[in-house]
Amino acid sequence: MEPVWDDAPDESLLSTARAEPSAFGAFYRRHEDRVLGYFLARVGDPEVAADLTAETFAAALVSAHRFRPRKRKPAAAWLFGIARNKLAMSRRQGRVDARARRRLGMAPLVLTDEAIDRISALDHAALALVDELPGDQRAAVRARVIDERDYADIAKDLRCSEAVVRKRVSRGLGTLRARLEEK
Amino acid sequence: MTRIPELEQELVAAATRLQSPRRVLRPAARAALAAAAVAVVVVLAVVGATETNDADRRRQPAGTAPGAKLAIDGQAGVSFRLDGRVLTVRILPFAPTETRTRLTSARIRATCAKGFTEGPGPGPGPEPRQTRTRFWPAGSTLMRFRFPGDISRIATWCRLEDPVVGHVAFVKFADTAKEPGSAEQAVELAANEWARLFAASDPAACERYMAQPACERESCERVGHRKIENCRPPSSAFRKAFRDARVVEVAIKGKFAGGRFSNGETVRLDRVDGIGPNGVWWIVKFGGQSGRTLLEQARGQ
Repeated sequence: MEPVWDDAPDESLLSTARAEPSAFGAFYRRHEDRVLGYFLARVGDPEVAADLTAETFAAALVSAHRFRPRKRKPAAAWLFGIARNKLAMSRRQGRVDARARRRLGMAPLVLTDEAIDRISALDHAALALVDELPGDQRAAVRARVIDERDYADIAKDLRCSEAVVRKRVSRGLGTLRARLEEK
Repeated sequence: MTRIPELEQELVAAATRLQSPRRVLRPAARAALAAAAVAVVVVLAVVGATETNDADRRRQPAGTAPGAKLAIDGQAGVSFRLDGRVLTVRILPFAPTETRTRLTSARIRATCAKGFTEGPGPGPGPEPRQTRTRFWPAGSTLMRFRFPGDISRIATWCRLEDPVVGHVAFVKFADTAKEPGSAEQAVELAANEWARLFAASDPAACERYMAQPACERESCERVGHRKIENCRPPSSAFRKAFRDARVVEVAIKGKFAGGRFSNGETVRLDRVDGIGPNGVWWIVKFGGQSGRTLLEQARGQ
């Protein structure tokens, strides 16, 4: 019988990924939406977002055995570090990097129309949640998280201090997190 | 259920392969298997595209205008052929390395539309547009994009882009961009349209009708804005001389052609095959003695 990994912490899933492949499946299921949403908000195309997601998880699988949990850097932050690198590299190279997938011998991802619809829906759902935030938090979250602007730059636009912007982003993200968990 | 169940399966399978060294294929064997799999996918995709293309043509209503729309982005070295729902994009032999690098092994989005209300790119807009994204396999110089709908009769432009890094190639279809009947007509059409655009210093002269070396000669710049030494761009008087010029003589020899305009100037054109029944003719040289040898040889026969 296959072990159930749904309640296991991320760190355990990563450390056992090579011994128990289904653990990595659970890790993927847990973070798929957030990683896909992260890419979708930045590239705007479900297929490219899917490619970047595939490459990110493949790179995570390749280096899962090297992951060392740290207090201030949980597994999700480590995964998003990989995602950021993959996005930056893809922008630099002008194509989605496929090194990790090649290394693992993974086949190119062929998406069905249904899968594309499911990914697109994610964008709408996340954006709808952002739109539900109070006005000041919404502007700060959009500028910082979606447009990736500097705090100083946003503060200038919103005519407030950087500390206030940071606070609004933090509160906004907290609200989003809570609403996502409710769903 | 995840949004991409196939990816979850692939990852678990990859983790399984990592699980035990005995179960992991040697890299060479794995690469061979992967290559075979990719080849099968490509073959299936090509067969599928051919079949669907044929089906699309059969399904075209009787009122559909015959002939495809053709245009070339001379700087990117990419040709676009829009026929019904199918956009065929080809990397031309003159294409700079940058185009090849950006297109191959990348997911490429093709868009064709009527207007620019929303600007080039995806998304709904009041102007009709069609978009399709496909993976462009490494080594392939041709790709067909089958749009959900037929926009060929009203499309005025098409664009190729990498959704991550942006623009790759762009063309605007001229009103006359229907496939011409004969090679002579094709040369005449291309040269006349080029002359009109060239006289107006319109960048479309280069983008649509000139090969890369001729574009470089016109701007005195190589790709990447590198200046060409001892090069002088065409003077405004030379350009103006083409304002009302029309082709009065054409000579074709195989893939090469010469054209003489009513203003006495001549051009040399080369044919790029594989686009339409007569290929597409590009201006490769203009001014001076360009194409005169071909014209004289034809007169002497």
